[in-house]
Amino acid sequence: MAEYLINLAAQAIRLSAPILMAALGGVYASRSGVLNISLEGCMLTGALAGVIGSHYTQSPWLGLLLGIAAGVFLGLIMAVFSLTFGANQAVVGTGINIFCTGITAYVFRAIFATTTTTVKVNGFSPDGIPLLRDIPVLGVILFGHNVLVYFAFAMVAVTHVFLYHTMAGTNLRACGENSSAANSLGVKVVKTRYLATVLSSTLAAIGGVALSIGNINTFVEDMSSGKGWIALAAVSFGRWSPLGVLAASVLFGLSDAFQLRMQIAISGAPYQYFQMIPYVMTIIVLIWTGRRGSLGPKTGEYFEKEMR
Amino acid sequence: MKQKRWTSLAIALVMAAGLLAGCSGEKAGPSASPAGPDTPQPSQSAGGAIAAGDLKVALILNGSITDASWNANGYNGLKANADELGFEWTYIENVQAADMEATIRDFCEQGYNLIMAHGSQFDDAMTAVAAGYPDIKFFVYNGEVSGDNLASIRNASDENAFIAGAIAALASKSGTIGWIGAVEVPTTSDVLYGYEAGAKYARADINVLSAYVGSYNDTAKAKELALTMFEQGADVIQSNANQGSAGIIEATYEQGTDSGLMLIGNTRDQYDDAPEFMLTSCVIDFPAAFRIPIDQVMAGTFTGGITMGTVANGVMSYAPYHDKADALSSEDKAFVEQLVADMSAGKLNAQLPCDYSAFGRPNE
Repeated sequence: MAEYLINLAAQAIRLSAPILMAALGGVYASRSGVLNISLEGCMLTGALAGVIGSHYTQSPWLGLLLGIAAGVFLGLIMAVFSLTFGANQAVVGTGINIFCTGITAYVFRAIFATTTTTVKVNGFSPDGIPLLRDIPVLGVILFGHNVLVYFAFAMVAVTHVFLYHTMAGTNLRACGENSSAANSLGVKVVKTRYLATVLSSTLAAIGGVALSIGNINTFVEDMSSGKGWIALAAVSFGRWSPLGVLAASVLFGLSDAFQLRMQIAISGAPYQYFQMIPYVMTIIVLIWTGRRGSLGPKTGEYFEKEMR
Repeated sequence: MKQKRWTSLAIALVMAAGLLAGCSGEKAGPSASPAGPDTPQPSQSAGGAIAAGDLKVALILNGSITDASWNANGYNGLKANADELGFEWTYIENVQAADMEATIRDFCEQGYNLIMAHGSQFDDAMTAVAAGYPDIKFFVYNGEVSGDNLASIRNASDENAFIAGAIAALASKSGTIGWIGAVEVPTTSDVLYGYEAGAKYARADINVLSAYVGSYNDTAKAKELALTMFEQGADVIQSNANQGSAGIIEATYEQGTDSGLMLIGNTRDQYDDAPEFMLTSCVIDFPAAFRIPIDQVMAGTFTGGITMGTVANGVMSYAPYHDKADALSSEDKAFVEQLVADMSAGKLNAQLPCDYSAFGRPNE
């Protein structure tokens, strides 16, 4: 039983890390007043970029670097169209998602030209942290993961300190709360939002890298399979705060790990019921947290400096 | 405002680029020339024979041809026949439910005389369109529909899964085996029923764990399912999870090549995907199955109806053991061979779990 729970917890952490990474990206964007719904597309593209980088250099680190580059590029597209040209952010985000589905499938086939065999590349070692991973109980849960999982959890602390304990973070939040007030006090709203958007897409892309070379060491089409959308839900579910998003992502990961195990434990029962668990949990928690008033930062508004 | 015009142009470009990327993926294939207005309509009378030069075949798939599984096999199944017989063909992939009818009609208008849809999800759309084009032949792989110009082939997926289940049970040292599927649809659950029945037929005390990923491409969940089954003692797992299979294979590699774990592939011989672990695979001979309607159309003998793809007619089979030949004793191998012989002779119908009597396999 103890081993069962330990493995369940470790599994929850593995499943939640990619969602957490993308959701933290969502926090930066929405806190600055940008609705970035392209997280799904960024994850998928990051996943492919990681595999391509690792394939050509044999180094997962350079794969990660290429994934980051892909995220920066997609973030810039989002930022240029929505912040400079003032396009509707939901439309640009949707456009990027559609674009990413097509381009990743095309590029993957163009490079690997395969229809029936799987491509293998070097990924991040899943061995965890030596010595620490041998500690009973906690070792498996906390120290038996690859480096990207730790990065995701470290980013929670970094984001928390940045948003609530630095000037730049306060300015970023001000852009999302009331952009004209922030502007009147000398905060460069557009520039801040640019940085937040690029960072947001980049974190989602790193989440994608965690799915490919941080997990299965290959790419399959559409492998993000909705995790970017779940991350987006985790952002509002977590009340636009890094700690809330951490709780939301771990809850998603835990209920997913739980449902996988329930299916195996109770064979013959309709598995759809178990697969509902994460989503039912979301609805219950949203009903519970939704009563507390705050609608969160204002996202999606175009800030036009000349007019203020 | 000048900026607004820029904006709309820019968004249009992003969307168009996305669409183009999608299209070019579909175009990568073999189609000789897209049928333009000047393409001559192949002339034929209903029921008449068609020469290979006049035959135009279109294949519609609901997933991607790089899924290393169902859709890739459909693509290769038709391609093998086209390469051999030299007829003109094309395909379209990732066709979603909302677009099915329109896509099929499109091919009808372009002068294709045999339209093939790869999967039972196309049943309704094919039936709806077929009624309006009596001169065109329609064929659904794994379908359950038939009409004057509409035929299906239905795989007896439980037959080779039964063999695979028996092999898994005989090879297992722990007495626990696993099975992971993508999404519960009849053609997938047939495999599970066959696998379980075969395992119990070979070894009454076998423990079979089973689960569905709930998605065709969620590699992360597929991997966690495999890890959980290993943790609970399974030492042979059949992967029936489409693109998610990549996750199951990676989970197995993480246990180490000396772990003694084994995998069973699906739809084709998956030995190349995991040579250290692949015990056997449930194989469907797609070229042979596609050949059935193509031959009929070329000979002018195409009639509606449902054919069964079975072990007996060679459409369903299992892959060689490759490097895992030692996992089974020689008595075990003889048992499997006898089982296959009995199945081909129709002696095992009572043991087979799926009732295909409506499609021509008697269930005693």
